[in-house]
Amino acid sequence: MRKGKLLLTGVVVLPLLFTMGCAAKPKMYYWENYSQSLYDFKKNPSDKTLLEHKQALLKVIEVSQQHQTRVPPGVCCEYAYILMKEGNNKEAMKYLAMEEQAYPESRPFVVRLKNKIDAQKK
Amino acid sequence: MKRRSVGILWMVFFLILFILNSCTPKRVSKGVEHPLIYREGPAVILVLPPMNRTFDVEVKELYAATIAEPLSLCGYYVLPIEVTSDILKMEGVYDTELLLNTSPQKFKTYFGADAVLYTTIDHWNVMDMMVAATVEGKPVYHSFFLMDIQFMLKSTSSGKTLWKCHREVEIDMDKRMSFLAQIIFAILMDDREVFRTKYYIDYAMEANQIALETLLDGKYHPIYGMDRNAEFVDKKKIEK
Repeated sequence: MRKGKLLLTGVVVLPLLFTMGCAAKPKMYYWENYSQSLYDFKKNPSDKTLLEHKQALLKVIEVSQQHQTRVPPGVCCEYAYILMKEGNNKEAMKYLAMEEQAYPESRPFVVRLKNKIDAQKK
Repeated sequence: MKRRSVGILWMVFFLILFILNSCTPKRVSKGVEHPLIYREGPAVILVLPPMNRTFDVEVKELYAATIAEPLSLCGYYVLPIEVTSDILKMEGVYDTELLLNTSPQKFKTYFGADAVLYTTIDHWNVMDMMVAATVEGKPVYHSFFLMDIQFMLKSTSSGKTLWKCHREVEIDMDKRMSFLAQIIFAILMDDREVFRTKYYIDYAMEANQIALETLLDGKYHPIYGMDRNAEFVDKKKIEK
């Protein structure tokens, strides 16, 4: 009886341990399709490739938030910069604040971009 | 007579040992090889556009699109390359060659960077080797991604070189496919360019990652501060 219990425990516990051991390590960053969309945009700059790159940047932000990991460095800033160029300064400020919050050392650069937005307003 | 032949045997033995030892690439620790980067501990890196010594004008774009991810995975805050390049262009700087004589300290003031990454690319392409032909006469290729890259990371505080590295990376692009799969692929695919475009970025990124492996990990890396004794093979050419 005891032997049977032990066997049963082994059958249940061993695969569990094995599965735990194989569980994927959490990723440091989720860059998703960033490189490909950026390259496509640089190779053929157009409204279509820009839109695709913007979507890729947003996806990086969303997926990182879903996994509760830090958004990769520079991504929020790059998205904010595109918004700035499009004149969407309010949204741009939001993403610049996100960059600064995730990476405090980005502050001097973020401040420079914020000043640019302020200068545009005047 | 016997003693003499034993002596010769020993000499041959030591000679072989010496040759083998000199052929084996030496292993060096990151902290010993690049102590300055450990001492200064830069967090923010500004990546300048690469100095392109190849004939391919697209290399600059390929590099810009594939360096941020592997560099960030080393634990550094990488300033957004697209934004910084745009700002530099607005200031009239299109080529990094123009910035070679600029003091790195200026990038601290302007971008808040702790270090600047200068890159020189001597080689960056895909080499196709025809290995067979299908019944219909379609060629079966074996492709390699080749990259020859030099990195130099300079401090914006001291102006000193914190880290430098010169690597030739060769990646077998068909390593994930068996020979039979390659033949089937050649029959089905009319244009090999499609295959290249699909995976080119991935291989370029992998090559950058390999080239960066001698760099000490930055503050956002889980083992930051603990990889001083981590060793790497002091070898210029890396084949994967």
